[in-house]
Amino acid sequence: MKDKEKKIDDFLLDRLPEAEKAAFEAALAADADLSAKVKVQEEIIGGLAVVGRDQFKERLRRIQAEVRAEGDVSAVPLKEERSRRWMLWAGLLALGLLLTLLWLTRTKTVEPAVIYADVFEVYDISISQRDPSERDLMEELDAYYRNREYDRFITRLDGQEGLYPHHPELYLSLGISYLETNQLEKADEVLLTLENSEYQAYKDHARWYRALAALKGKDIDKTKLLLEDLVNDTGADHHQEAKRLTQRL
Amino acid sequence: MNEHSEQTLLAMLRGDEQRQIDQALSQLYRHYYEPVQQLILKNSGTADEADDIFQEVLWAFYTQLRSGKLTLQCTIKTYLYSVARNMWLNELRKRSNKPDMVETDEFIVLEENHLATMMLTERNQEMAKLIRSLGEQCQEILTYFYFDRFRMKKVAALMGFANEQVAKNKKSKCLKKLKALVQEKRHRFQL
Repeated sequence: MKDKEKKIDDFLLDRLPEAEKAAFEAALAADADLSAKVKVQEEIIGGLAVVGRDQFKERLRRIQAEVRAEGDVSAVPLKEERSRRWMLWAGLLALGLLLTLLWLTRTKTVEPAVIYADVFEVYDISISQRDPSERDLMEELDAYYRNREYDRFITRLDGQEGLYPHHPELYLSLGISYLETNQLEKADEVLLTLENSEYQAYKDHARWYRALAALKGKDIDKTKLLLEDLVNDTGADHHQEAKRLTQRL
Repeated sequence: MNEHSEQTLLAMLRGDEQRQIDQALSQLYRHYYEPVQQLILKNSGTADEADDIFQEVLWAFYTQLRSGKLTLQCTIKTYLYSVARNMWLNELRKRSNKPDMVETDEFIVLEENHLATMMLTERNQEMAKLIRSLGEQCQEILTYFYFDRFRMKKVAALMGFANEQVAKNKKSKCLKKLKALVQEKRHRFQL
């Protein structure tokens, strides 16, 4: 059996002397079984050519790398080096894209002024007198507020707001005036007073504008925190706006 | 590193010493890679393609030398350059009907069927898959014997077997195992 295998090997590897080769070829023509065996072994050698080629090329790559390391051939870098360079460039490009993306994201989040401008709407409120003695003042303030003359509104009321604790709308409009004139701490303070007051109907409005004050002040965490209650309470005033704003942030 | 004459290089490549074979291949790289690279680069190719072509050329050269089928009628450089030129011309023909070839070195005209003997078929690839499913030791033994054409004594030494007979037995078992796999896949190979 092994002799036959060796004979087939020698025949296929072209190691038989001419006379033996001729005899083997004659046997092949007459013996179908032998012919089939030779064919299988020939197929195997063909497959080993593929396996051997892959291993050989691996050896060549190693040799090429060594030759390159010795600097004996042209300056064109190795395939692997080119690949590494390509990867470096790809890496730099990816980093650039990432930084751009981060910058864009940053733009989105650290440019709250843009978002503020999108979401801010003046709360439509009428400032009305509670007492006849307040009439002139309240009418004047109402006019300033409606005309968006916030500075005049604030100046007119300066130091007097504490005198009108029964005017929740006054507190709200004052808070919004501070907000629009960028006096954010004062806006928060006034609106917080309103939020904690007995006027429950103004609580959500106060919370919403406090959130906008925080947004304008670029305090995103505080903005989100203030919006939380409005988002969680589906029946709250400004619920939908709060939800949308939270998503944008 | 010592530089060898062409005759010595050929003897080294035909021999059984892997270290010497690698030394010879290294010398081929150092002396003959650049002309092939220039040919490819000046004919619409890339450096990667030059690498691939040169590897194919060396593989063909090595295989034909070891099978005893190659008798050089020119210098190694001319032969390698000519084979590379043929391979690249074939590649360019796939891309264009009438490729213009910028000649960068001296070459010989090779017979049409010269490269055909080195073409690996789909069937070879299928068989290679079966071979790769054998263990690593079997793959090595069979590759040393059939691809590198090392004698069994050399295979035994390379594999660290006690003697030639152990190598023969192992090779026989691997072949038997592979044939059984082929039998299983007989319908695919239509043997």
